[in-house]
Amino acid sequence: MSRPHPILLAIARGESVETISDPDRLFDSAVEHRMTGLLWSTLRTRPDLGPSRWRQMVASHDLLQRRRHAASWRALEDLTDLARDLDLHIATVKGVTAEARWYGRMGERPSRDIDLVLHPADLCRAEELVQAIQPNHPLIGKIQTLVDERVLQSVELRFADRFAVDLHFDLLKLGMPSPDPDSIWTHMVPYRSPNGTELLVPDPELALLHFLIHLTKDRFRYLLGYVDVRRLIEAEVVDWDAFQALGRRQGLDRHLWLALRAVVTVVPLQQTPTPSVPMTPATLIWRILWRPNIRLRGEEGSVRFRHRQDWLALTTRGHAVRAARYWLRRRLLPPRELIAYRHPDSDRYWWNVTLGRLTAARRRRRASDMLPQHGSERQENVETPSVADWPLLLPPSNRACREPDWKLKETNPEGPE
Amino acid sequence: MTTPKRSSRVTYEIVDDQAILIDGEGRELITLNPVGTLVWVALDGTVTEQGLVEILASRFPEVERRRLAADIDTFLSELRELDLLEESDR
Repeated sequence: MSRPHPILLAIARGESVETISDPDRLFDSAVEHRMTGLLWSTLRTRPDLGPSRWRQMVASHDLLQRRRHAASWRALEDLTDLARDLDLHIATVKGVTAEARWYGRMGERPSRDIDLVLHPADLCRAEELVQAIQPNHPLIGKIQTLVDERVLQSVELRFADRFAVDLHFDLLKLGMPSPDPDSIWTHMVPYRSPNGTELLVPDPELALLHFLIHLTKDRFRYLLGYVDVRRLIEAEVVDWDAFQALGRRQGLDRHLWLALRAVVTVVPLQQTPTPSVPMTPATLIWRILWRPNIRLRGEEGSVRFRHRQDWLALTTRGHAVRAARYWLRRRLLPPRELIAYRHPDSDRYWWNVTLGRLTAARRRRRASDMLPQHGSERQENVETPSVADWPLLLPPSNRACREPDWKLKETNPEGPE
Repeated sequence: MTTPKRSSRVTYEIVDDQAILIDGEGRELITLNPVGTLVWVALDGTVTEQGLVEILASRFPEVERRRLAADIDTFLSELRELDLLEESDR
């Protein structure tokens, strides 16, 4: 399975669900497309949908998600305080704040990491922040050079040995420095966490831009990304002129309209402008590379079509030459510090670059071989929980609390109503 | 008399008359049976242990109160052991 289950498409569009005939496939698809939270939101109001044991499994999945999100909020507040103590300015995107702003309840928009963005003026102190978040990160001592040269756009960290943090030095991560990072930062607005900590989050225009760019880089692979856009547009008053101007300053306005149109074809949205985009070499490339049949392919999209995202920068308006320069640098002459980080046991630069490419190609081929042929069913997905895993969700001692003795006498076999 | 209350650190969901709980650390999922769920729902901090017996007695009049009280006592002990309850004196 890679394309979303039809019921998930109905949920994404806000349509009602009549019946569920293949619950296991539906759940697998919901996990793959990050839709388990929205699936449970539908099920909890419809006791008639799906077998009881399966409903319990979906609810358990949702509970775990909620617990994770509650912990993420606390970590996000701690990270904000930590940056404030260092007099550094950070904002947060996606994650639990997006859920709180545009979704109905905690757990509805599954997220696994915390995305932070460092203010452009604080990039000269990037390493300080990394050191404060994860003092033992292997790139400590090298990060500042990489950030200064604008070749490292984000770094994955562990906070408190527990939370995955994606620290962005450039929000858009196009592979080249964003054409106008300062204008991006002017679209950050204050937002209060549940415990009253003041955070910075993108305003509706920047959040929409970020969702659409992220979706495009992601090959439109997960259905949840479409729902993000739908929820935002329905909940906020988007200033479309400001959105266009912001996109234009990044050289991405045409990409954004094309991406929005791709979303609207799956989750129709009323009163959303879809201006015609002129046919230029860049927009032609976009239409070919992000054509409808590569979209919504779930995990398959993680393996295939990966290099399409490079074309986003290469087709920006007015920045193609700069993008090509950074692309060549990244692909042909990757920074020595990064190569040393990836291959700590050897200092032979060219050998490691070649070895890295061969390993990556082999890994991609192996992952690709594991995928089903297009149109066939997936046999197995080791990372996707399924109904068969359900007993694992029960405590080892099967801690479902003991049935009272008198209950075993079938005083009331059906239990209370 | 103690008034047991669901711990605020516990997240739960009731699915088809069965409560599914996740403990404060998020390590363990616990499924209660329908009768356990009936008691769990009543653990809002306003009902004493005796009150819990009354609730079950109204549902299951054929069961002796002494037996209900013993079962509730056992059930609450299990919940306490799992750190799923807060206590308050009334």
